[in-house]
Amino acid sequence: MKNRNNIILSTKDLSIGYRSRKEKLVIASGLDLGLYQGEMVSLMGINGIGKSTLLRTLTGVQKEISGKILIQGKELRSMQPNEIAKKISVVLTERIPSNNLTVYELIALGRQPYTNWLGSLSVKDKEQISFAIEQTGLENLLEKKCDSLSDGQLQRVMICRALAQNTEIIFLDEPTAHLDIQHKIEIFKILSNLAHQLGKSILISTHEIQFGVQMSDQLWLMTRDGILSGTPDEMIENNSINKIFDTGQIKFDKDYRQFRII
Amino acid sequence: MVLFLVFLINLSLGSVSIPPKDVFLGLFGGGSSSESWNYIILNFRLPKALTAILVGSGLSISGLLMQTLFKNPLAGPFVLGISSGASLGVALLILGSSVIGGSFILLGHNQIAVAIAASLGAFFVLSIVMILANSVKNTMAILIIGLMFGSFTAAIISVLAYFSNAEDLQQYLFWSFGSLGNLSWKELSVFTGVFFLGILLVTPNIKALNSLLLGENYAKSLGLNLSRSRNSILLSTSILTGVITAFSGPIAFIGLAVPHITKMVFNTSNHKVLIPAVAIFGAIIMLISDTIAQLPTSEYVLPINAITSMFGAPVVIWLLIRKRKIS
Repeated sequence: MKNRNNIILSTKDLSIGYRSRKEKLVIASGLDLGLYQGEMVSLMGINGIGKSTLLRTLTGVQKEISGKILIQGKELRSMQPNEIAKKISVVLTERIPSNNLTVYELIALGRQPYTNWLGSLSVKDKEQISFAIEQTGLENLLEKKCDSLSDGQLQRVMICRALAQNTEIIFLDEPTAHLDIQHKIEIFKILSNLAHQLGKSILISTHEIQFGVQMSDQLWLMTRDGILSGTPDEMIENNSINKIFDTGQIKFDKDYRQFRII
Repeated sequence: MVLFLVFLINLSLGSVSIPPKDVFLGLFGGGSSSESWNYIILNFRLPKALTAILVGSGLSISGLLMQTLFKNPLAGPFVLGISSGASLGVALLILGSSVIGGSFILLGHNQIAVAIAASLGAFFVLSIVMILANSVKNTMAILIIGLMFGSFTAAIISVLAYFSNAEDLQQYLFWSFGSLGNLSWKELSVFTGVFFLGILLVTPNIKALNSLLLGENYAKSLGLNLSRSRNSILLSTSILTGVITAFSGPIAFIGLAVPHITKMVFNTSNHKVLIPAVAIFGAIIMLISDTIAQLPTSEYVLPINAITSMFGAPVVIWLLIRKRKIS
């Protein structure tokens, strides 16, 4: 399903940051990024470099300072919230405030952009929900309340909800934080399956360099001088990957394919 | 069904008790066996029971909306400062008349004037809160603004109370106890009209309320226009609580507790189920509270606010201990 010809999301000379009444704080500028169909992209960078700001800007929640964001050729700024919700779904780091929802109810909320004013589920909505449940292997958890789930299960449920939203793009903000290594791998496997089998464009912000290098098609490395992008092999070969960190104390070891303390 | 039963019981009990059979006949048949019973039912108890239903369901729905919007199980219909606004209006009318003297005195003892003063007060606070709500991004800030209004108006009321005479103070105090009675059919029809306007504004927000169960950011990612939905939820709550406070005074507890009781009984968070359920539960609990407040067969009537809290609070604590979860 990988299709380098089909660009889903692109940015043109994009500047991101914060704008207050008096001044603007630019976090990154001159960004020309491309997210293609069927690709999994890992966005990596140190804490505070602006990964979340970039994600918020790309989903239209935060206004860009300048430049353009295009989704399948259409400018994000000109799209209605409901139109964006049919193109981009998200998995965030925040906890959901209501824990009395069942897993099925939570997943079903993913259909909101398509349902009528009362939010009733049609046959097609239910099909999409069943499909998402199948893809994420949640059949046995559907009647459970969300507060009785483990962190790993909850994260799978949130991914399932995003999948039920049936969007071309899925953004995930640190989806594997708080998880043990087994569940980290499980999440990365599910996501790579969604990209490679279903043709979704997936952008993950993550600190899991090892898994990012191993499992993603592209890396976006966010540094103080902007974003470097390329396949994991390219980024390792030309040493770009070392620019993630601005300390001299660690270095990427090409043989072990991970960072090591010098 | 339960609602109907409680409704009949409420009509039949009071300082004069009327057998439920005669109540039924008085309502639907050609009349009960006594002329004075007919009079009591139609002009006194029926409007009171209907008021109880409107107040109970309206406050409960408002409480539910606020708890979901603010993601706070302690939020209630009055967190926006509506009741403080209404209280201020009434305090200015009743207490202000003794402070300033003169023309207010005539107005100060009239039911309609009190309702108008309360509406104006509620509307005044509502407008300010809505204007401020649009200039703050954080929903929690609205909660704090509402609280600040509460303290501010309470301060003004204390100043007024300090300077006013005992008789007016007592009248104000009685209003603040809340009362379901004394509404004429004409007043009740105005009440009902505004009430249904409020309900009409609630229904388009059911979907938005459900998406807010995931938090504001997820709700936005599902295509929710947050500020528009927030305004619409605030407006419908304000209309409902505003009109209820105007006609019945600040009725405590129901709006906070009924949503919790309903959620525990139905064990769901879906607003499509919760809103009607909360309305029915609110009406039932209000009718029961009113029946108790009448102290059947005695001449005394207790303040409705005392009953709602006295019997409601232990019920909520009991439910909490039994089931633990509330949100």
